[in-house]
Amino acid sequence: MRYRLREFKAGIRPTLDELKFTLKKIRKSPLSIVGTAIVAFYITIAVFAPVLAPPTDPRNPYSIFHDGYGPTPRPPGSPVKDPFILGKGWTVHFFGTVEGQLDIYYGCIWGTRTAFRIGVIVVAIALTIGLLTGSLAGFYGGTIDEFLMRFTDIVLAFPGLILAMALVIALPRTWSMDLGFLGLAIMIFFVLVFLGRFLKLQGIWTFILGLLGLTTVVLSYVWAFGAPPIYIIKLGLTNLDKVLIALALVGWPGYTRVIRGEILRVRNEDYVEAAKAVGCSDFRVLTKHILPNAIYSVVIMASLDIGAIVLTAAALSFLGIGAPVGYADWGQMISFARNWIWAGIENPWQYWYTFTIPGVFIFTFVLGWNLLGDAFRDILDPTLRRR
Amino acid sequence: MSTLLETRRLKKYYPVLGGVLRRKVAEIKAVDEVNIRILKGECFGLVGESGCGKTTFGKTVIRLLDPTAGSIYLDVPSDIMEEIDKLENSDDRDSRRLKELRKKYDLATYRGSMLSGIRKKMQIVYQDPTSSLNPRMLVKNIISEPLIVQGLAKGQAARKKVLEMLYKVGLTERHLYRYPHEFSGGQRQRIAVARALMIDPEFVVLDEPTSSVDVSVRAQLLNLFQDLQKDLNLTYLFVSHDLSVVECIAHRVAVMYLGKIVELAQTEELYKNPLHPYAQALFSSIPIPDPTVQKRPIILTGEVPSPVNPPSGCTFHPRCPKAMQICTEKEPELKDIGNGHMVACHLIH
Amino acid sequence: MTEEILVVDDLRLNFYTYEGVVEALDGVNLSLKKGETLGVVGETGCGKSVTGLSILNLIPPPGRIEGGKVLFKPKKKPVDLLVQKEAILRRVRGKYISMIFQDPRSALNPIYTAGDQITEVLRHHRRKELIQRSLERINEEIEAGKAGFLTGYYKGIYQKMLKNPKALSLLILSRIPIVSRYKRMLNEEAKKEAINMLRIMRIPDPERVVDMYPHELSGGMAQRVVIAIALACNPEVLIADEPTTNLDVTIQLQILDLIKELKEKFSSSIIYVTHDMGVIAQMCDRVAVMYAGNVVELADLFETFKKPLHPYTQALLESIPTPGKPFKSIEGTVPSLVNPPEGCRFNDRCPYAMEICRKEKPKMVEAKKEHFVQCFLYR
Repeated sequence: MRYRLREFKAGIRPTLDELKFTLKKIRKSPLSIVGTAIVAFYITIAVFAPVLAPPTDPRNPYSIFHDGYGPTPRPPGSPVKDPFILGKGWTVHFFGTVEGQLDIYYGCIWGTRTAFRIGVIVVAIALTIGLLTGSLAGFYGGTIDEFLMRFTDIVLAFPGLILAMALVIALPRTWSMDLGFLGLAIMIFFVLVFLGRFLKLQGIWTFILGLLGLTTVVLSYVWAFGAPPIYIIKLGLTNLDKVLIALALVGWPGYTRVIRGEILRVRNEDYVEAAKAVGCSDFRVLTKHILPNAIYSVVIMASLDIGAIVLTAAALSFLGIGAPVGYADWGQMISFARNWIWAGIENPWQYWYTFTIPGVFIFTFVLGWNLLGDAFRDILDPTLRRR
Repeated sequence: MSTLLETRRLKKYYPVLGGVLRRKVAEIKAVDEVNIRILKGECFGLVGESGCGKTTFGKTVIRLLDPTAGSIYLDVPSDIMEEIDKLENSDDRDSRRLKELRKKYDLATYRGSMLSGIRKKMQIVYQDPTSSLNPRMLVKNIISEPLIVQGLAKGQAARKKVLEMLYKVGLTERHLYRYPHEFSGGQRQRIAVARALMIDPEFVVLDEPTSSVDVSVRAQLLNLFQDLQKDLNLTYLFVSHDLSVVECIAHRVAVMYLGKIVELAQTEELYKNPLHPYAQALFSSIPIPDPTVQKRPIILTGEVPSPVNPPSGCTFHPRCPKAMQICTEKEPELKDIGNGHMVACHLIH
Repeated sequence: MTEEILVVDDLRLNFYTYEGVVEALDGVNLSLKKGETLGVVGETGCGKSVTGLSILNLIPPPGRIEGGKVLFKPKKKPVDLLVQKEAILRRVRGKYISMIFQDPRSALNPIYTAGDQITEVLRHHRRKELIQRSLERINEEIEAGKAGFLTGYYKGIYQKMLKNPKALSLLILSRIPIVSRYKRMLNEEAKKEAINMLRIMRIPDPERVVDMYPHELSGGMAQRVVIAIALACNPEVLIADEPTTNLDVTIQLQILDLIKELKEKFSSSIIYVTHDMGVIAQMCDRVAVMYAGNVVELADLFETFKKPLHPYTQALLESIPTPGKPFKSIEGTVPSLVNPPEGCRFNDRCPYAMEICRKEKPKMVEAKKEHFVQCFLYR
């Protein structure tokens, strides 16, 4: 037992050393510190949102409360009038209200959570698809590479924003999925994979065999019998979710190309060949040797992408596609301010708080992630590490 | 001593693709019909200049590359070898028995799982220790990986074996939990050697292992190689372009030029009395660290020709100071002229 | 008594990195006599390459020269190269002191042909000579009666270039596309000279090679082009930084033979930096042995190999693998230059280390005639 603890401590030591070196590097670059600070700040806000802005309706925390329904925005510092909301502990609108008397402060705080959701989910999906396709293309080369890259080129040609709009209209409001059927499909896939292993095929061919077999079986079943329901679940798809799906579907080719390029570079290194000489399977070589060395550029790209995706989603929300009305989302808040950007009789900038404040949130959020991405690149790029 | 490894007519050609339809327009003959026999327990040196194919040969022999043609026999019992010899020399070339034997013993025909099976017996140590160790892996994981992959040991047992091997190569337990870049070149090379020897191979290809380290560290590594050879009963194929190092450690040496072996002999015999003109020029060009020794080195004219279009007949004839008419027409055979000294030159036979 | 042409006096160099200050050179003393080849030998990290670079003040940041002098005496008046302005250094580099680098592939710019790179040096340093030759050719043409209608114009321009090279009119004319065709003649003369240089380098078929790009050349040929660039302006001192390390043995032999012949022909003095003792034995007249940023021994060839005084030199010579004898290596490793040990930097590996070696750093003394050692064993 004590042996395990010693092992653990010894094993952690070099990682800690690496971390110390990384922190030292971060300290030397002021922009990286700023970027990290900004992102840390937003993470805190997102985590503590229920404390910073206690929701008036605990079942729907993302819907911004209305303090009345008046059309004119009220400036920051205006008192809360609605007695129900006063009862929940709100006394003043910190950032003012926007058309329809939606509280800007509340929207911005909970909008942080939305922003993280958007950024992280889209990038996670795009990263997964991108890594999968890029790794297969880069590692196996030849026809697989050609095929996958041409497919990627096709996807790249899709305009993301317009696809988002199209999907918002085309996809239904609820999506029912037959879990039983999905389970059956997965089972068939694994059976075919084992069959391939049994017939002593190399790794990638079992995978392809599995896929082909699966597709044939599923299609023939559906064609013969229609798709009988086994166990249906219904998922609610808000407009925002559809936007996320659209952005993820067009966002992955960038990662594919980057990871493919890096894998092509790493593939020729001696240690990869040495791993093959020792008898590592293709899968092991890819996951333990090639990918850890090829992933740097992708990590940097991912962190830069989070900012970009949030920006795109905000733009879509401003256009009306995206978050539903009254949802806590920065783009939404600015869309409410549409009529009030240059309004006001005495002073055209009278209602500046309606668009400036959410705008500042968006701007600094994206800036923070960009700087963090730069910091990652300076730290992680092994050629720049100066070892 | 018995033969451990034998190659017969081993070829490794790389196709050169050209034209719009990417068809094969030419071939790079990296290894061109090499027949050698490496004895058990010896250190076999393979020398030549860059581009002659010695590294390609080393990698093909342990099946990191697929040979284009030829056979590789590793540790085949002598009666089976005799049978194969008989069948090949007779007119029964395509007999089923020969095919059956080949499928079982000829490494060149192995694919898939049979290939992973023999990986245990043959290993390689690379030239550049910086690029042959994964920079993102701890030394402990690098060295224990062969055990885990081959399914030989796990957990505590693996750790014990790793420690044993570390002590054998002259490192200590403190070095386990570090990354490769924290070590010097000589130490990294030791880690590479430890990794290669973990699964108890019989045959190790050393691909220029001392070229990237300093002179003072070279001696340490050479000592290590010799000790390990005695200790673990290893057989080495020592590939190098550094002739003085090979002279010290190899028992027999072969000289390679443009994919072919031109001369092969016992080390002392070869260095004292090289017969092939290329070998003579090569050995005379080693700079001796002694200002009192005056040599008259043979300076060759021209450059090494490209392996895509090797000259006709003997590939060395454009640069050979003693070339004759027959050298441009007929390729000389590698013949034994006595005492195991083999030369491929029309001047000799 | 041959005079000294280059003296390095107490050169100190530091690199300021993330991990600390690397004291790369800790008081290096060298002297190069006119017409000799000085070998600088040592292992990786001893500072031999950066010594060569510091002489020409080519150390990139984060390196900074902290002290010492580099005295260059081409005409009996010593000039300290470390304090000169960049403009003067540019006139020195290539013309008076030249350098050959280790890897010919990275020393040559891949987007320019071999000829372009040689003519670049020629046009920079030997401009007057090229202009004079062009003028001679023009005069020949006029005499032979083959004068075209632009010849007079060209003659005028070249004469002006000789008299007043920085004239404003020349500056303007050289920028206008058609009128600046006069430069063509200059380039032709430069190219002829480049082909001549390649022929001296024993490159077969130089007319073809002059238009080839570096990636089309083999290692040996590329190195010859690098040497041609270095010797194009007949420098007094040539610094060769491991020029044959990356080449095959037979090609190395060709290049070494070539360098010996060129030294005679161009009467340069050479500083030859390498780690190969065999090459030193073939090429050099005197040898400087370096360890961890210091020159520990400086003597002539025979003395260094047969009667070495410094323990490091002795250990180095013993560790060269020889057949028949057991392999002897040097215990320990080179100390880290970020935190160099107190006193003599070899003290933790020296078999004769004494108390004083751990405390004070020894000074360079002349233990025997013309044989300098930096060790407390000889005082």
